[in-house]
Amino acid sequence: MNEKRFREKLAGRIRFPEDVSSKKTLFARALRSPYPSGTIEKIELPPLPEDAFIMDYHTLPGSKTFQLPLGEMPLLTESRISYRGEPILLVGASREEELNEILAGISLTIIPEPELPPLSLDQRENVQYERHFLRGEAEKILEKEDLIQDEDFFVIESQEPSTRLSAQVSCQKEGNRYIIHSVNQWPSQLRKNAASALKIRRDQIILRNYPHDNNQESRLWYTSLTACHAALLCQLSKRPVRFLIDEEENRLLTPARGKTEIYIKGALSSEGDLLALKVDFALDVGAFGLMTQEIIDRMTLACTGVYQCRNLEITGSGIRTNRMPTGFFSDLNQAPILFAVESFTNNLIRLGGFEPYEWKIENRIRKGNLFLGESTLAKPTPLLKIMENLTTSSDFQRKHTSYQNLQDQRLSLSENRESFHRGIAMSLAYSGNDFLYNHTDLTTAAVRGVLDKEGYLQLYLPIQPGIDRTKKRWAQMAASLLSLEGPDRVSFFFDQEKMNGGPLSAGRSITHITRLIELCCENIQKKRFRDPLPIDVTKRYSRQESRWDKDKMDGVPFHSLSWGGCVVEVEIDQESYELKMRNIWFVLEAGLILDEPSSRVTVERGLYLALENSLGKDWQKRYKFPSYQVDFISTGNTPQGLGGLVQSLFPPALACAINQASERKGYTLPLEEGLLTEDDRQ
Amino acid sequence: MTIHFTLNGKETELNVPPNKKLSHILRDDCGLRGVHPGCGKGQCGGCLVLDGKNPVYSCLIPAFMANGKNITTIEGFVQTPLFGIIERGFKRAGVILCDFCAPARVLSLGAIILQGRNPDTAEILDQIDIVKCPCIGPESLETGIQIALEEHYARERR
Repeated sequence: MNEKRFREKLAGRIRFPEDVSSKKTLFARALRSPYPSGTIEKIELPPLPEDAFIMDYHTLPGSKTFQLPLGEMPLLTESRISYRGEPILLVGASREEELNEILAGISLTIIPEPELPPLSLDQRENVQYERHFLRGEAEKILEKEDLIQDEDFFVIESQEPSTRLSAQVSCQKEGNRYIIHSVNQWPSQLRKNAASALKIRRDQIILRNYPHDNNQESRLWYTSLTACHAALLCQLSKRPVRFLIDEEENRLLTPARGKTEIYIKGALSSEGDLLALKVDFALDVGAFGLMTQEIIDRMTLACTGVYQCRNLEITGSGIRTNRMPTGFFSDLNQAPILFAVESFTNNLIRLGGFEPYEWKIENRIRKGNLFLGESTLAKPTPLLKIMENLTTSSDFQRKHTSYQNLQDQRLSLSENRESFHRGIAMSLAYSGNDFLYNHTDLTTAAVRGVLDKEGYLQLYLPIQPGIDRTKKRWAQMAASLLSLEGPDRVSFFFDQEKMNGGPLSAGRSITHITRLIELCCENIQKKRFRDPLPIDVTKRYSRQESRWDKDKMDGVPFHSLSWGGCVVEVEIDQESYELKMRNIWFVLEAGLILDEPSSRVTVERGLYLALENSLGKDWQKRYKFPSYQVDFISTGNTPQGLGGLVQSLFPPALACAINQASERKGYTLPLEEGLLTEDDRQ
Repeated sequence: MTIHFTLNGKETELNVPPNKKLSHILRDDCGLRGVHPGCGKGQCGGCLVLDGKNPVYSCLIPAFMANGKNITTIEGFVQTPLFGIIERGFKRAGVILCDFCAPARVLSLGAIILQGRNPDTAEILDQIDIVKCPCIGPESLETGIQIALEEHYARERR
């Protein structure tokens, strides 16, 4: 990061959309539904000042829907309410106080209706999407085998922590163009929706994108919706608009990870082979069921974890409810399934009397095995190296055996002589980079490189990346490929005119953009000695449809896979039942690590979110941030995503370590409070 | 009501409505955009300012309560030599903060130095906890704080 930017950041001089203002600014808000379900019967407006503006569903000038690649929702509700906080009216006034008075004076009559049934594996109403996957003869085997276990897991709804009102947006008109000031990770989607809502051309929408915080992924589409609202009022009033979101709205409208219920039944042979798995899961996808196919299919693929299993029966459903429409997350909801599958597998192998390290070595997925649907794994996995490194750094095998012996003694003697109990567990997971569904708005990306006459390189990216260190590494890479005098000869721009494409979620930022920059530089280098400067090269990425057959779940589902392992060691005080996380070890294989410090920050941030998912929102009041170690191993020349891996790895390792220390199993995320108390002990 | 207080070293007089929080007055009326109200509940710490030498959440304080106080925001703190020490400490430790919480992190560390404390690791971790932003874990931040404190006390000894 350059010195000036670093200083400005610390000095609070970085500006946000809410800092944009002028004397003519119109303050705007949405009137939102106080009910999760119902029908609007009547809206009565108070006497309005001359300079106030109102817009409802019927006065929307263009498209009335907000579209995403896999789903759509109304820009404003017509009459039927689908979730609490759904926008009904847009209201603008010259002063904030006046705006609040108008909003308070609106009489809104809604006839509340019963909510859609809550999520349950048994209820089949309101299924937005269902995936059934069958391989081999799971049902037959699960009736015959001796060692059969079945368990239910629950992952409770959770919101990623938000520290700022990131959906605030400002919009002003300059000539025939609308300038939107927003924090947005998916500019093409914002421009497309705003243009169609305002009934204007897409090139009339200009996005001034502001730096996003690190938890913006759950709000991937939401900031585009508020941007459309601001632009609509700007068009109506012909004035600059500052669209306000208060703290309560921010909490209410931050898309949450839906509740998940998972039932798993599995069979183990006497030799320890995982013979069959039956997994039924249901996810609450909220209202409108946005992106449900992508999320459910990803979860289905994650159902075997990283182990070999030839006989599978998986049923996954996305259930619509009257909850805020679902958001995206860095792991695209793989974490709940991997928590259940890893925890189940650990419980099953323990029941079978197998040593977990040996079992995992033996049963890990290998090159040539069936993996991820009907696809065969084409490359060797780094799982063996991950496990070896993990056990070396954490002394896993020795500690596990020792803690297991102590636990067995405790159980046989029925008495407790120790002042604390310890447990240790290992989990393994993968993370698929890029989206599963091949849709232009999701999966394309482009980078343009211009080498000018003075020997400076300008790189035009589809989005402003959030992490400055990554940019620094890209600059170093480009300077080295083109033999420029130094990385300061490379500058980055956000080009919205030509660089339309998908969001930089699901590891796309690091995988695709790095490769496209590389290709641009290689191409410029080739042309450099035959063409005059400036040389202008654009490289695009688009997925090949033929690689993945989504109906049969066959082929290559992801651009690439990242792999990882985690060991968690815990200690439980036998007087206070206080949990102490003694240490955490991660070994991660995410290809070429461009910049280790920023990768460590990504891991640390992932651990922070995983702690919240595992121990509940208030975990910081009860626990200190634990010490952890990260070991990056690299088996490739291209970088890959790291984002969701830590969130998938940590919860099952923690649950299983607690299980060894306390003899209690954690079936729910966040782990139940009662897991550690004396009263609730089994 | 009219309040008189010292804001970033300057005597200030403001007419404030009784229902307005200090964070909003500082941003909207005084134009101090480095104050970043977020959760509105004193949890995230984005709105942190110094009341004398103490860090306080300005989103929890009604503006009239600032009457007679000495309030320092990041805009005022930047003018002090301590800002440079903290900047160097964070830079040397490779601390990567998000744009939102960075000023509050600086102020919370500034408070330790202003109070003349030389805290141990546990106290530093408690101080880090004042700003709850998930952009960074405590490990690298703690190193940055240690470096800044070392430089400050080395200077004082000289």
